[in-house]
Amino acid sequence: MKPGDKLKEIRFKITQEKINEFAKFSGDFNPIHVDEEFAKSVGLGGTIAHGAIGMAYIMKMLHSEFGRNFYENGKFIIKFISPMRPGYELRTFGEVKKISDEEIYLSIGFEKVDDNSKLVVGEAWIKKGAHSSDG
Amino acid sequence: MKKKKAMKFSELKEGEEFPPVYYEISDEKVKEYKKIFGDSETQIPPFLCFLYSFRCIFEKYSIQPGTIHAFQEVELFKEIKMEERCFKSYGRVKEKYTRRNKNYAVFEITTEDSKGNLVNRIKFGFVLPE
Repeated sequence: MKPGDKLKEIRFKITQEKINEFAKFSGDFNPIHVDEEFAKSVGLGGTIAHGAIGMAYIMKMLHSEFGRNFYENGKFIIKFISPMRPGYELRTFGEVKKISDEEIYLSIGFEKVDDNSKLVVGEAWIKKGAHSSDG
Repeated sequence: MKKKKAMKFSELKEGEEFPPVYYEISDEKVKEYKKIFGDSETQIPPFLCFLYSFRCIFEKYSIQPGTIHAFQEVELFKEIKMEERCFKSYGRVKEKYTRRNKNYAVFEITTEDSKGNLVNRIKFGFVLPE
């Protein structure tokens, strides 16, 4: 692994059905996710997906690449800069920015497939631990 | 059933603590997660732990309609084996601030396994409608 290397992307589609399914799974029925009229009334223009859905896919991408070491020595910060709306086709991205003796530093996030606009951006740090070769 | 308070920016206090909640991650929840996210991993995804850990805050507060999840920080310390199902999570209000006319509250939740080992720590920011 070296700076510039890209992680394998994960593609996923946001649908209202998926949002509803996640609301049931998580117990988060905030109407901005499940009530179109309410979401419009607070200026969101329609329902938006739970940020946690995107977070789960980012974790999946990092786990696919770094395996157990991510679960034991991983850290990431993400910022939700634009909402995920039903109908969006998205893909995760991750790029190695720097490697030191102690850790691997990456930029991460996800973007829309059709126009590459970024909805979530962030950073990740994977300490080089006992399981760095897993994954 | 204890009535929950609506989470309001003006009433949250920096340093306010949320007592531990104890929970067990069920097989059913693991299956549901795998169905939604198409995951085939053999261990318990830490993401599931996060969902349960929020209970320490939601025991006290209900989220107001219009609350927005603005950012998330995650630190992972321990892989969760399938046979490890019991956890303890506790939290606090790490900070609150107003930026560009939006009221942010930042929460921190720490999760430990049944032996007291640190499993993960998350921080997340909500924009609160009032």
